[in-house]
Amino acid sequence: MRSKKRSRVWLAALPLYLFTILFVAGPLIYMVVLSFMSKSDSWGIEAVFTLRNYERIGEPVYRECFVQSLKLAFTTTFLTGLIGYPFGYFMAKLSPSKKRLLLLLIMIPFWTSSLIRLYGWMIILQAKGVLYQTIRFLGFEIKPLKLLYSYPAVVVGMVYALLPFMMLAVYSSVDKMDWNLVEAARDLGASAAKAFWTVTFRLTLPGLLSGVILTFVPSMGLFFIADILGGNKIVLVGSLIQDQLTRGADWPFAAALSVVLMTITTLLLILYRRIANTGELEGIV
Amino acid sequence: MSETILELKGIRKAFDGVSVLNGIDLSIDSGEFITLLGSSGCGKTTTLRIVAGLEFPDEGSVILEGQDVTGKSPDKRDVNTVFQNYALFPHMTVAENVAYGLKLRKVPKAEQKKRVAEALELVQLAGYEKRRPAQLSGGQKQRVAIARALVNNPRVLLLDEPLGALDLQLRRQMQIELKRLQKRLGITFIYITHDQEEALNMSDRIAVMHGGVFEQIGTPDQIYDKPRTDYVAKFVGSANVICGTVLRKTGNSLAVAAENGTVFVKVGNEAEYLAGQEVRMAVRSEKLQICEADSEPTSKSRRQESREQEAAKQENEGRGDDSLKGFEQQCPKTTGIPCTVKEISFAGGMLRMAMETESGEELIASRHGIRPDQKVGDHVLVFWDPEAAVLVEKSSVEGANEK
Ligand SMILES: Nc1ncnc2c1ncn2[C@@H]1O[C@H](COP(=O)(O)OP(=O)(O)OP(=O)(O)O)[C@@H](O)[C@H]1O
Ligand SMILES: [Mg+2]
Repeated sequence: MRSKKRSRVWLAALPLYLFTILFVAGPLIYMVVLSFMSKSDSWGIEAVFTLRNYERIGEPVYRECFVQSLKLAFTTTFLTGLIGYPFGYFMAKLSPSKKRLLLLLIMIPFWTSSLIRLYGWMIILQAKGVLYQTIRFLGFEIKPLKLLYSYPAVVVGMVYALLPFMMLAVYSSVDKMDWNLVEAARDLGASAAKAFWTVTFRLTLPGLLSGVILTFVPSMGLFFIADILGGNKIVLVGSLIQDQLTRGADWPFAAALSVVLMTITTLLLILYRRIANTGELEGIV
Repeated sequence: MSETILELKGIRKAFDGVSVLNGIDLSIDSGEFITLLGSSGCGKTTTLRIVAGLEFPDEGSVILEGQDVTGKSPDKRDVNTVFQNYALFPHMTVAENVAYGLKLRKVPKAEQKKRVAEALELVQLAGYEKRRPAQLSGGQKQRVAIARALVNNPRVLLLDEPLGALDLQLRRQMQIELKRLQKRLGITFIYITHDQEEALNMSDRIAVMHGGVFEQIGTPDQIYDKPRTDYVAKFVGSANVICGTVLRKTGNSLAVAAENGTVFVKVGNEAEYLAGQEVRMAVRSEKLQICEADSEPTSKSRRQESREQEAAKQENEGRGDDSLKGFEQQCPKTTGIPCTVKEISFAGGMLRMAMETESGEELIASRHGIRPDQKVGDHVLVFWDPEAAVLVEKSSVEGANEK
């Protein structure tokens, strides 16, 4: 009876297993295998085992690329959390009708391509762009801006692109918050700040943490923002991989870069889970 | 010992234009156990929240130990609350929950530990320190909530139905424990309950609340034996309330015409009543007596007549009119209200009989035993010992928000 039931469950899950094997595990294995092969001169791959691809990543140019990617991802995630948490928090405290309006406002930009929105940022950040005009209009005499094609511009673009995920993640956990608990804390003698820190923040941490993951993981790979807003000054692993795939036509090296990128991300996530794992976060992170 | 610790003066509160508290005045002595009793939605929790500082009154003031704390935040008041919905911190263990207040007060670690252990011992939850609220039953959560508030040894402890989720046995036990503890520590308790028995057993005073005001504040004896209004009589004593008009007063006995009958109420010797004056009587269901009405069908006018005679006789305290002999033997003291038996049921070894008067009012009688002498449809006369009835005022509130 029991085994029958179990087999039926297995059967129901079969499509899922197939899908996973075909579209997730398969490509991953292919990529790992590829990363140990060598490039042949004529646009191709030779099935000759080599560690050369991984050795190359150790070279300063490429190493620098990884460092820069990590730095940008951390900065982006940190700033996104810093802005997104309070935003999500206050949004959850609004009246239902205002909440709905705000949620809509957050969603609307997704109706246009992110590429187009990035060009919008270019118009704003240009030397004599919208930002410059606005500052001038407010009566400040400034030199044309040197913002575009700089690191800050890339950070702005990244934060802009990823902020909605953070806000929504925080919002959904603050929205579920039982405010009676804050009252209980206040009643037991906690100041407003203390009650926030010991109760509200602790209980909405899962939201913040999933926001962090939703921000950090993509920010390791969102190369086109850096390409567009950073000119060619900032080369991230993502764009490096893309470059190797297309112009460089070095698939094994691209695969090796991908493997390393994925490993770093995974390790960081595991580490993060360790730190954050306090029981009630299970199932979220 | 009896200095005032807490005073509520003219507290009013409305939510979204709907008034919930309509002028609450209450003065509580230090060390007193006062219970707020009232039906659901009458504003008990709101009153408590205003004392705790979780809600601010629209009007009126809260005076704690001689200081006006009306606008002060909860952490600035030496008051702790046991919440109706427990409000335990889900991310902390039982021990951490209980220690929360002590930690904020920077009580040394060793003492914290000792006091937490004591508090948990008291609510019979020693050994549950490491559990999380999610791993507790409703009753256990409730007891953790009690321990968490109690451990801080506040001047005033507010308890919002703290024993509501417990089974009868544990509830009895906790009632005794809480009462004992309250006496020993001298903490002032403001206690909310739906359970009249709990209120009557535990309280020094009871404030019966109805529609955002106090109908009556008094000792359990006063509330039970001398209800001021019909609402209190109904809610606390589950009494029958019968309206009538005064016929005459003789000595300390007041004859009242009510529901096509004449009944008697014992009143003070000095009290003056005018014939024709409207009065309300409250008689608890177990005090109602019942006898068979005349077995042979009598015309209404004859019944009326005999009642008049009966009333006259009552006045003279003399008995023995021939024309009423049979009736007399069954109903020795008073005439009664003619009723029809509508429903007979049993609950907890009690027989409960619902009857309807000729004008359609319902009267409930109850007594021990399970075998009814009457059956549904019988015509009966309902009467009572004049001492069993009290005169009550009409409640000034027309069942406001209550459900
Ligand atoms: N925050 C609020 N907003 C709007 N209405 C409220 C609010 N709090 C309470 N009320 C209303 O005030 C009235 C009194 O509520 P309260 O919680 O004081 O009742 P209660 O006497 O404690 O009832 P119960 O015995 O069911 O707990 C109710 O009608 C309730 O709907
Ligand atoms: Mg309540």
